[in-house]
Formats: sequence, structure tokens, C-alpha cells
Amino acid sequence: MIIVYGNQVIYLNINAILYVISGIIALSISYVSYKYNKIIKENVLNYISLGFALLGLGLIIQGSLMILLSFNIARISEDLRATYISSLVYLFLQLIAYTIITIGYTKEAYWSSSELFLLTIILTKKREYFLLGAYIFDAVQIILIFLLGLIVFTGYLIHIRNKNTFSLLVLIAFSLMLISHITYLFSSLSFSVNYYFVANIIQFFGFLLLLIFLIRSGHIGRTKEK
Amino acid sequence: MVEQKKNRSRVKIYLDILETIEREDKARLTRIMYNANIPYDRLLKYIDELKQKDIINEVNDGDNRYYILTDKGKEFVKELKKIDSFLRGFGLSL
Repeated sequence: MIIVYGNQVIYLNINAILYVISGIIALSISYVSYKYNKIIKENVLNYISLGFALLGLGLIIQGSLMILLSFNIARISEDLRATYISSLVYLFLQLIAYTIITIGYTKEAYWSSSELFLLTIILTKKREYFLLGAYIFDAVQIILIFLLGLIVFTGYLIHIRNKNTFSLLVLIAFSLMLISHITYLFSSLSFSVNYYFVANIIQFFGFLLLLIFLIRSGHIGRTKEK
Repeated sequence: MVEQKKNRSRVKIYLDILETIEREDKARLTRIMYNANIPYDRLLKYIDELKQKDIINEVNDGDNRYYILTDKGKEFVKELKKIDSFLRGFGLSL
């Protein structure tokens, strides 16, 4: 959610652009996962594909609405309802997306022994935080921080095991997304649009790293990885 | 996390075979068997499949029989390497 005061139009536009570009990157990852899954039939790729598709969709919906609002800034108060609904849609899409990515991503590392345990933790946490009622944004951020924390921890374990550039890029990307959601939460708690903007930039850099990963992994046939 | 040795997937075995042929330019069966670490009878089955899919060609040079990559095969190896590096980003492998 974003509150627009006076000349915050520039913030709105920059945020919108960051959202849309991040969304396109997320959809590209989703498409590549889907394409590769058709060739090698690896179930985890389904989770990655679906997760990033929802994430991309949410980001693009949110970004597009911000662009529309910036054209119609005079009627911002009348459009608040639309903004609120779009923000909710975006939050819940993010929630589902990160849950799916967490399940897929951690599956490889833990699920042989503690599948149900992990799912129980996720579901229990979700229920716990939804009780916060009106503070939906904060509650969703807390769950996202928890899910991303799990993803980053798993990514770290994977990187320790594999020690390659690709897993490092993905690890740093998810770490930046984790930091961005901590900043989103902080921005909400401190009612600061500036921190919201900073969070968006951090999230954008996370997606940018995923784009670099995508490009580098797509060119491995020609350039050898160190 | 307990490290578990996974069996090689079919795709990974294909990649090992094709990479051997790619490295050697033209490879004999024994060389592929040694480099890709596959028993002879199973290797013949995979080689047959790859030939049928037009990914490799058999070349006879006197008494010797070699295998080479077709253009389609070269593209397939590239694609498999891309998939492998993408998977490694998420801690998976072929």
C-alpha cells in the first residue's frame, strides 16, 4: 500500500516502473522454468514456474495501477478503493507465490524426512498472523519475511553444498528480497514513504540479479562458468 | 541435511554421452562407455535412442565405428547445458 502526498507522483512513477520491470523478470523466470520442465519433467520447476508467474502477475498489476493513478493523480482519493484492492491482490499473490517457491525450493533440501513438519510450520504461522485483522499489510509482510527467511536459509545450504556462481546469484537475489520485505514492514510501521521507496529499489535489485542469473545460465553453452 | 547420492537421471546420462562425443569430435563406443560410465548393454540402448532421434550419427571408418553429433544434437547439448545451469541456481541438477 502507498499513501500519496502532494508531489509524490515521481515516487509513484518510479515505483511503478520498478514493479513492472521486476514483474517482467519474474514472468521470464516463470517461462524459462516452464519451458525446461517440459523437457526434463522436474517437479520442482513447476513450483518455481507457478510461484514466479504469480509474483510477476502481482507486480505487474500493482505497477500498472500505479501508472494509471499517476495519470489521474487529481482523483487519487476516489481511486483509493481501487488502490486498496490492487494492493491486497498483490499482497496475496505474493504470499501464495512465496509459499509455492518456499515449498518447491526447500523440497529438495528437507522434504524427504520432515515434509509435514515444514508445512505445519507454514500453515500455523499463516493462521497466527492472519489474526492481526486490520494490519493485513504488516501481517503479510511478516509471513513473507518468514517464507523468504526459509528460502534464504535453504539457498545458503544449497550454495554451501554446490558452491557455484548460479546458486550464489539466486541466494543473493532472495536475500535482497528478504531485506526489501523487512524494509516494507519498517516503512509501514514508521509510516514512511521513503522507506517504501528504498524497499522497492532493494526488491528491484533482487529481481535484477535474477535477470543476470537468467542471462548467464542461458549463455553457458558458449561461455564456461567458473 | 543428509547428503544423499542420487541416481543419474536419464537426461543426465544423455548429456554425459553427448558431452563425450562433443569433446572427442567423433567417439568410439568404448570411449563413451568409459567417460560416461555406463555398462555396455545399457549404452547400446541409449545410443540407439539417440540415433533414432537424429541426435547422433554412426560413422564407419574401416573396421572402426564412431559416433558424431548431428546439428540437432549440438543444439540439444547446448540446451541441456543451459537447463543444467538454470537448475544449479536452485540447487538442483539434471
